[in-house]
Amino acid sequence: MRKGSRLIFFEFNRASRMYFTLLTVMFFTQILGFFVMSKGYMGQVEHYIRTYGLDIPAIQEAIGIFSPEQIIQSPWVMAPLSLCIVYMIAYTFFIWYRDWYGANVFIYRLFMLPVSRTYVFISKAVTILLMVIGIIAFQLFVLYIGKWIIAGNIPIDFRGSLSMLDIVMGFNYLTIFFPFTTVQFFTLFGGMFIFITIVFTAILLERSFHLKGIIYGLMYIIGSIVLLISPSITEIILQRSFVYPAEMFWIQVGLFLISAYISIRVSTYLLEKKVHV
Amino acid sequence: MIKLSNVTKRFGRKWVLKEISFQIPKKQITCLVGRNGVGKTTIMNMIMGLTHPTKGNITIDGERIHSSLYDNISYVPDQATMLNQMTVGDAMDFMRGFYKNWNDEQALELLYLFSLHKSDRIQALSKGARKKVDILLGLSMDAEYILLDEPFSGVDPNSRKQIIDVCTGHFMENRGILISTHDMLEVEHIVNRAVMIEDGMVHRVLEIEEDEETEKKTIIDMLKEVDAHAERK
Amino acid sequence: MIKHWKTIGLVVFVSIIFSLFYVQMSREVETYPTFTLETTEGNVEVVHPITLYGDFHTGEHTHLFSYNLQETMYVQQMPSLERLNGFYKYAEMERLEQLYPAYMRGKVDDVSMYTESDLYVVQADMDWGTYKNDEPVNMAFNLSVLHKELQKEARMTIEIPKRDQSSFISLEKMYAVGEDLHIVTSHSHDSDHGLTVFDLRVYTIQLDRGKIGSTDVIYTWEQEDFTEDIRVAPIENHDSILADQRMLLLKAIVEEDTDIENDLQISKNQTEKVSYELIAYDFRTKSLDTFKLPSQVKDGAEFISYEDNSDVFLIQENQEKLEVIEWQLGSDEQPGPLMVPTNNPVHSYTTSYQGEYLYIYVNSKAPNKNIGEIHVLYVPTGEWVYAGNLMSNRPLKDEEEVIIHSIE
Repeated sequence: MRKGSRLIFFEFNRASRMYFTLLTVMFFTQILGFFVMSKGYMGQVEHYIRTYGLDIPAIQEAIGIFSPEQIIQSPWVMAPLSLCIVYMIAYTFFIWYRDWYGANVFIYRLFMLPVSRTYVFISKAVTILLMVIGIIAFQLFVLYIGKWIIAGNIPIDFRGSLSMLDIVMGFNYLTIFFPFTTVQFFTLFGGMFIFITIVFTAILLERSFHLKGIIYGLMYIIGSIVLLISPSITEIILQRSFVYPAEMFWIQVGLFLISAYISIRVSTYLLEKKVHV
Repeated sequence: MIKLSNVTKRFGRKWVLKEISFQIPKKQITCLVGRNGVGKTTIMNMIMGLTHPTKGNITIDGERIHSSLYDNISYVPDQATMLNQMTVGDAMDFMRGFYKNWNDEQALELLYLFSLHKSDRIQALSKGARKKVDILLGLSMDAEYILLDEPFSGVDPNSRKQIIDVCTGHFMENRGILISTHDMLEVEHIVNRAVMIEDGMVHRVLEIEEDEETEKKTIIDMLKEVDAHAERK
Repeated sequence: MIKHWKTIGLVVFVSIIFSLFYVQMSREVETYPTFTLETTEGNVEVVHPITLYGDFHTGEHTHLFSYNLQETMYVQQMPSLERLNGFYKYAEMERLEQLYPAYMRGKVDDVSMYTESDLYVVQADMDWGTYKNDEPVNMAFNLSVLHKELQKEARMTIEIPKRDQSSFISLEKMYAVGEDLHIVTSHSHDSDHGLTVFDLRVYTIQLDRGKIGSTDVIYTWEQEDFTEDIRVAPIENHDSILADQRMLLLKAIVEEDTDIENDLQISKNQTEKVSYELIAYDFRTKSLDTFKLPSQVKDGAEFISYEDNSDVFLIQENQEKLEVIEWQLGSDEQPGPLMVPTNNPVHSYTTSYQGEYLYIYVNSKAPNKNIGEIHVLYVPTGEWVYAGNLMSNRPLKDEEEVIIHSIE
């Protein structure tokens, strides 16, 4: 267990430089965006006051009140966040492939460590998950600061609700990545971890069987997704449901756990018997 | 003892190794000899579980390779394996953190003998120096077995001399050693046995002292005969 | 450990941020108003069975809540796992799930798809079958029938006879009595002279045999320029079915062009003329009786009914007040309206009929801490037995609004 956690620290340290650079870029770009857009809005307000002599209700009518959603949906916030998302998707593959194709063949070292190779697998998966959770937490942190910037620049008459709930809802479809309760936290990130293990298994299939392995890997991912959504597919095909919604939730949890177990077992087998340097 | 029994390896349709059987006893130095590309690295990788035989099996003291055995068997591959952004000190810390058999005293001694410094960044080292780092990391473990894959090849003369001195010194005592090389000259005088690989098979296993006595030839001469025979084929 | 400061630091950072976030989320809900019921008249025991469901609007967002006289619960406060089964529960659906949990497993959460007799519980919907030239060609009824005594479920698909003669069929209502299931459908097809012909039909299905026993066309009309419309009257109890097995149909006849509005209310544009008739279809005798509505029935009146006799109850707004009209079908007597004793102008209202009590909740037009009023009528005697004010724990801000939209 100690060696396993040591591996996690090691893997995260390898990723940390680029990771923290990205977070820094995200921070400065988004904070700048909060300043620029809130100042820009107040500039418009002042223009209307100076040029047309409008009162508050008239200005609200003319240009609307300022909503945090305007900044969140703007490139100031979305661009660095999208960059982080793309980076994490790429890194999910990179975390393995660079050990084979990097400047030095570090996979030798990893495979010769006196720890089960399953720990190598788990440590990489935990590192990816930790990085993703870190990005989401950091985004929340930036939103807290952004909220303070808006409150400082825009008077209450000209702005909408600055509750964190309302601000986070401004992410629209990306709101699903912000868990609002501890149950949502564990289901979201538990599900994410399981999905990472599925992708890792596909990567190890490629590392084991090369060209054929790419096909096996894609089939494995598709098969896993089919397994996970099988209750929903069954309901759609048969056009009826068989369980209460709460029961469906537990069935899904069970399927996710089964999928994780299969992924880890298959990966362990591949790492010990099939994958080679 | 490391024991290979009828080990066969195929890459695609090509049979690289065919029913290889030999042993690496403890406290002896065994040399794996053969031309480039004959399968020496593949044999070492299979012993270390880094690749897997198509048929046959390999045991270390009666057990198949598994993770806990890596405390007891050390491998110095031909390629550099440590991360470029690490320093020599970082690499030593990495090994110390995972291997309970890590010997700090030995590591410091090797550091001195190889003229390396903990603050040296691996990225900035020459090829010879990187090889010395890998050898340092390999020999600093109190492992019963050490495998060295082409420890002298592709390095500058100065580094080569340092490596030869270390490999012929007390660091190799009381361990089962497997050295692979295509040129026996450097280790002729320390090797106890030689396994000659030709055409994917064990051509001959030589117990150096006995066979030199019997055949009245040096190991080098015997190897040259093997080479000539192979060329005629 | 200090060596691993980056990883540990990130874990600590994540823990702090998410903890702060969750504390803030829970505190945010605590800023929402909570409610209590202050009794002004009558016995509070009368309102104990009910739960009020409402929306709390904060300008940009709406938060659903329930209030059951013990506590106010917002949807965010409901434990996540409980919320999976739905926050808003129709009382009827809860009752069915408690009585028949195995049968109700996997069933659709739409109370209008269920009906119950003393022998059976039935869930029914339309099976649209396959499509030809964008029109469904082999429609059928899908039934799931529970025999209450044997606790056995049977599924059946019953083809709708002569379905190819209709271009559109919709399932309007269902009514189970004994071993019979009456399904009321609305059919439409084009006539030879280019008009759309509508008819209302009743399919009587013998549940023990799984077959259609009879098909009756109970009303047919041509719709030229949509001047005439008939729909099954939306009466709250038993969905327009009276205890004497009569179904009420509301017929609206527009004398000039206008749009007939939503199902729940009689409504008309003030400049056009719309007249209404109530048609009662008797399932046993298969006869139709037509009644003119009392003249006191105004625009926006809503139907309510109850089981014990064939009285029809309506509720309507009258000069910012509400009044209840009880009217015996077929009687020439003009009923006197029963005023709902509200203290504040009516913003909107909702009703529920449970047991022998009619619950009327009225949202106030200009609430401060007084969100609305609840009044309870004991129907057999026509007496108001309870009045209470729904109070908020704090005044509402300008951009805030609380609307109770249903009583279960």
